Amino acid sequence: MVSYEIQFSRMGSNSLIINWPQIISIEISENINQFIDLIKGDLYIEEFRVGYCSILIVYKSREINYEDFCKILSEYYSDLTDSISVKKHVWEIPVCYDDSYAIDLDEYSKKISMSKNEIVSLHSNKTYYLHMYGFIPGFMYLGGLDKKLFIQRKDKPSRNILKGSVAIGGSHTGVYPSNSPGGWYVIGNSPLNFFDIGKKDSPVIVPAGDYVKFLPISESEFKKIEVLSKEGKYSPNKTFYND
Amino acid sequence: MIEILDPGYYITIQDLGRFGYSNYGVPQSGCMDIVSAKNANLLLSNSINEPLFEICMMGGKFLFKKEAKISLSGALFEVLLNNKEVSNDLLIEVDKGDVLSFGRAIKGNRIYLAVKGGIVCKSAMGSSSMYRGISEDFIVRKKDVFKFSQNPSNNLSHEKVDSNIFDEILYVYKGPEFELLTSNDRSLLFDKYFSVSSNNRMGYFLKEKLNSNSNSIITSPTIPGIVQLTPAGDLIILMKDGQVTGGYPRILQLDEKSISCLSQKNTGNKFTFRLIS
Repeated sequence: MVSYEIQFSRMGSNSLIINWPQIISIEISENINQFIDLIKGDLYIEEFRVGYCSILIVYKSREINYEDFCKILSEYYSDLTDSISVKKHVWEIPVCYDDSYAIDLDEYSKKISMSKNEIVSLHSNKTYYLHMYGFIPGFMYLGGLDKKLFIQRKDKPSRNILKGSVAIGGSHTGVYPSNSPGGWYVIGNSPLNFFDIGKKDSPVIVPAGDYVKFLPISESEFKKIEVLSKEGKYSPNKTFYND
Repeated sequence: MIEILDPGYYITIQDLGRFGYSNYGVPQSGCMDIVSAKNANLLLSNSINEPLFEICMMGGKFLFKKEAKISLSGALFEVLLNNKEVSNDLLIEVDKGDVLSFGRAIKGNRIYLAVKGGIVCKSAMGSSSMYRGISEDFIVRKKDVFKFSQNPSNNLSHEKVDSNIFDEILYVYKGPEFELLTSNDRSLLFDKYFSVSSNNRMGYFLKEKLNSNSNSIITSPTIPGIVQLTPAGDLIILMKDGQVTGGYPRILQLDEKSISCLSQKNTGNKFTFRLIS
């Protein structure tokens, strides 16, 4: 079991932050998720929020003080043992990279001096790790973008990026689960519904800690899947992840 | 039943918030000014989590199709019941056919209208608070009709929470990245007056800036009341519908009551930050 030096800091009257080493890595995200599994039933916890290498915990400060609660949390952390490794999945997310959906692909291709075909093949050949959800409901923070695809975010964010847009910004790639302003370059669109509160069990498709792969599809396939997805009849392929 | 004759500038239904779903990126939502919302419910012996109307800035006309007991709390608005002025922080009895209409906010920015028994709302992810993509609608519209509960849940505590929601001092704690601030920025932060440039349920944008800087952090969790500093030196205070993660340094955290005070401020209103030691 890898153990990290974790640091506690107080925030406001009823919250605290636990910091892991400030690096984006699968190992740290896995460690954080295992820690959360261990503490999530604790009665002093009101709510927690997750980042790449930190968590924020809102706790019942009327029932326990900061110092005592930190002690309890450190004990939890030292109790953390390698859980039986859960089999991870790779989810195939269909994406249409055609010009009508990839509204920024021309500009992006010029900016990074790479052909559109090359961009699509680099983007869809990689397997991405889902570190966490954040930003807006159903937004996936995916890790593992090829360095050749890095690009500085737009100086001026677009006012309305369409639901389903697959985009690249900085060293990240992701899918906009609903219409939203944003500063990333749109290189395609996925017909799936990435946040649906009507769905049983969970409103999202991919659980945090699993992997995502983008599958290029044609415009006609897009339209077919879009209809099925609206009726709740489409479930993306998933396969076991092999390290 | 209550029918909306005019949806005003921006009216939503809120309760105390949606908790436990931030791991899917779902914001907390809930009343911006919890102090006033609680008071409105307490005046009617409602439970403090009973859904109520949050009315922002101006406008709104409600037709009561049945008698009801209601209360108002928060910002001071011009409010008429039929043609008679009514005031905040009182229990008001309305008859069938009465019309309650809101003019402009005279002082403050958000007023709460509670109904005895609470508004009946479909709860989504444990809350009736409106939010796009989660509740059935994200805003109250013309011709919407709302039922209120016939069998009110009686709440035992009746005490009004005493607090000056128009305070011009916002009490803050140091945020996790406070130490990144230069000494010059620290003194600016606590010596200067700040004012609101624009606001919505997601956040408050301030007019005055700190110095531009090159600080950034790896995307980290945020909660309502966090003050973010952008590289350009702009200050953003995240509010109830604010995003659950962010990449800007979190330099301050507002005290809970001060989140209520800030929600009552509108464009141009001034305030200072004071550090809680």
